[in-house]
Amino acid sequence: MKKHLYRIMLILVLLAGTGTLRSEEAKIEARLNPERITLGESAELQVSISGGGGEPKLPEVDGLRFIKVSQSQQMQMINFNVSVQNNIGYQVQASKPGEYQIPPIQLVLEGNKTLQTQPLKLSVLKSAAPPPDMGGGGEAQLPHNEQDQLIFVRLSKLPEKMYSGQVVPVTIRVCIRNGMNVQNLNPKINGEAFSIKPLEFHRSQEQIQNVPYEVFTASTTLAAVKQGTYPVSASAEMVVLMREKLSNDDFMGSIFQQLVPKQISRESAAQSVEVLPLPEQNKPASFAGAIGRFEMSVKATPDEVHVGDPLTLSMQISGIGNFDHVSAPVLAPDSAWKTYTAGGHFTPSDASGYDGKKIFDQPLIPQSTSIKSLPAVEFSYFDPVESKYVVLKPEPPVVRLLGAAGNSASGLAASAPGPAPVTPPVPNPPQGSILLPNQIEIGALSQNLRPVFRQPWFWTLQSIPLSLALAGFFLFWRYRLHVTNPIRKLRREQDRHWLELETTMDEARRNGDSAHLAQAGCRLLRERLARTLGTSPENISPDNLRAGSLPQVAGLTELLELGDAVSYSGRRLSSAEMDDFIQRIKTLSTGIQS
Amino acid sequence: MKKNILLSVCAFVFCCGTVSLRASTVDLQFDQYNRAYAEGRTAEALQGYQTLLNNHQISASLLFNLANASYRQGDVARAVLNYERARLLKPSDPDIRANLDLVRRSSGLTVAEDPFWKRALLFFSLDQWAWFGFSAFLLASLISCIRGVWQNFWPARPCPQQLFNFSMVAALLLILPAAAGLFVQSRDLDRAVVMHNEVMLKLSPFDKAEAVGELHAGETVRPLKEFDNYVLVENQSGRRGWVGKSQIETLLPQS
Repeated sequence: MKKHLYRIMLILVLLAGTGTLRSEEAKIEARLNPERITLGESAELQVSISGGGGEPKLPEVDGLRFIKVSQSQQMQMINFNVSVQNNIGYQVQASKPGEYQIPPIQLVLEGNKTLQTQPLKLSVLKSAAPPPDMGGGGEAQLPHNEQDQLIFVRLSKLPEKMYSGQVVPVTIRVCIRNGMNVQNLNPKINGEAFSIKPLEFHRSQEQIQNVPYEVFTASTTLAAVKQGTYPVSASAEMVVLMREKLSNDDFMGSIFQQLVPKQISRESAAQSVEVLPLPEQNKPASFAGAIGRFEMSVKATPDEVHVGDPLTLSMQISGIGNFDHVSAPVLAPDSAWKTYTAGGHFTPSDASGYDGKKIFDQPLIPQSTSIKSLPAVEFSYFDPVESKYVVLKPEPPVVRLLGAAGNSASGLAASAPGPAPVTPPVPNPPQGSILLPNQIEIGALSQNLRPVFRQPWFWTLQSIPLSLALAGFFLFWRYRLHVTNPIRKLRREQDRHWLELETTMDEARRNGDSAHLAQAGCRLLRERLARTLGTSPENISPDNLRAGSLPQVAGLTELLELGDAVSYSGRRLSSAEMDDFIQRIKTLSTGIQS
Repeated sequence: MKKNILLSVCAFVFCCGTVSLRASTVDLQFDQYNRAYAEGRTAEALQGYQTLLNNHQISASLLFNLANASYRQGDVARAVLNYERARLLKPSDPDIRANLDLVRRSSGLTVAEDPFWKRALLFFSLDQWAWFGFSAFLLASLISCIRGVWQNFWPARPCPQQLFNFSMVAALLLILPAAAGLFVQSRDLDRAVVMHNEVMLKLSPFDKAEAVGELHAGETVRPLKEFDNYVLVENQSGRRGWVGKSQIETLLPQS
């Protein structure tokens, strides 16, 4: 019996769990890490599916390849709510640099319901080094020294000859087979004649020869500083935690193991580089140490300027090379232009800073209206491929120089010398002929130009509306106080009620209705006296008056007795008696009020 | 008593007559100088307009004609100054605006186009906006006062509360455009015109200070502060520097 009960309970729990599972909202999420990689590296795409199953449908993106590298399932039960999450990992590789937009990843559920993720973005920067020999995809044969290696180090191909001061991009990659437990990884580039920028490593997962590796990649630049022939290599030192059996017995040894740290070192094949001095022949005067391949463009803002007003000459140097040594282009000396020190800023296009553009902003101030052109600009560099100096002399942009006001030479143009276009000067109209004519009526005259709101009397005058506004505010405040006072409010209501009673009396008199007349009259007397004495109208009775508990008012007792008699005994009053009654009521009321 | 009344009436008539006579004299003189200008005697016209101004007979038309004559004489700076002064009195006058723009363009000076909202606020002059605002304030205060008196002294009579409230809010709302008009135009009030050509904008208020730029005759600048004989000014492109006090003239005369 108990066994049956346990089975039933187990089934119920499972059913509840299944129910919870089914009721859970299915969800799909995708994360890309990192979102910026260098060509040759890979990013990790993690797709998480919760509350549902199935294989997500990956979109096809030109230039991107998705390789499935892992799949796991995670089950959680919190307060008997069971949730299952499937995690699928992909390696994303790019075949060319650029900005990639990965469309939403779709998951088709039962009943043709489709879920999708948010679109993702991946930036692939140009690799600082040529990738072919880096074996990023894993299709190429491994070099001889890397075969059967669990860990190896690679250095990108360097040129055989370099010039002193020349910068070349270099990439170092440390590949560690998956499953290796590596700590304290310390990779470096060895080359005593070279200056190397600090290394910054990115971690990624890659398949090399269909074997998964964890790859640490750093792109940097190598600058030749010493002449001669020198070897260059990359190496990495690290601590590897190796499993060591505690027993010689195979079975026991497979159970009882310990991790032993071992210091190991790996080095790439050395490359020989010859560093040559820069040739002195044909070295231009404007050469300041730039080595590489560059282009230059110049623009000026604004394109229209007055003498004495500054303009900015923006000079852009773009290309590849040692941007650290790229200094501002040289301006031809011209006393008609006042110059200030140019400020420059560099924007890299790759991770190592080998490719990019540097913009120099040169402030210039025209000093004379006789200026005909902007000063000539010159930039020179050494091309290591062609082994020669190159001088760049771009055409200066066209800037229109406006002359001084009232000057007959106004509207001059500053333009490039030679073929550059010249803007025609602004014509000076014939004086006076096209002005609108004089006004005939002199119009309203005033004593001075100072506006009234700057005159003290105008502000003094504001005291009139201000006083009125204050008075209005005070009166409003007084009124509000009067309206909201509860005693005053009660008295106003009583006054209104008494007016109504007097009206009732008049109507009853007209109708000859003695009873209503007497009731209204007595009520009026009682309420007025009660307010004066600070008591309730019900306390005002002939008996109380006679007993002396209330102040004596002549004729009041008799009048109240008469009123009560008419109201309740059915006695009727004649016309004369009614008039007399009303007269006495009004007299007494006035007496009580005063 | 009768004698006093008679004396007062005589004094009033005399005053009115003097004012009228003076006005007609000014009109005659103005016509005379206009004729001189039309006949090409610009220097004579210029001197005549200036005489009228020196006698504190100021009007937008007089300043406009003075500016025309100054420009014809080749004095761009004084032409710009007088057009700008005429605009203070009649900011919506299209003739003043047209001639000012023309003079600036022909002299290579910057011509700024006013946005539509500023053109709307230039419909009235500073004085007109000031009186408009004052009237609106007075009206709102009066309505508030009348309502207070009504409520307190005639409580039995029903008070047209809605009418009072509506009128008061309307009057208060009329103050807003007046305030905006005053604010916008008063910012233009404290400007100055460069009176000489090639005025060096200096880095500091000293004779030997380095020049940071150059100003041209007729350019409008905004004086910021003074030091000895120098004024720190900001030109239309936002550049600041010191110039000599004598090299600029403010739109509002200093005296």
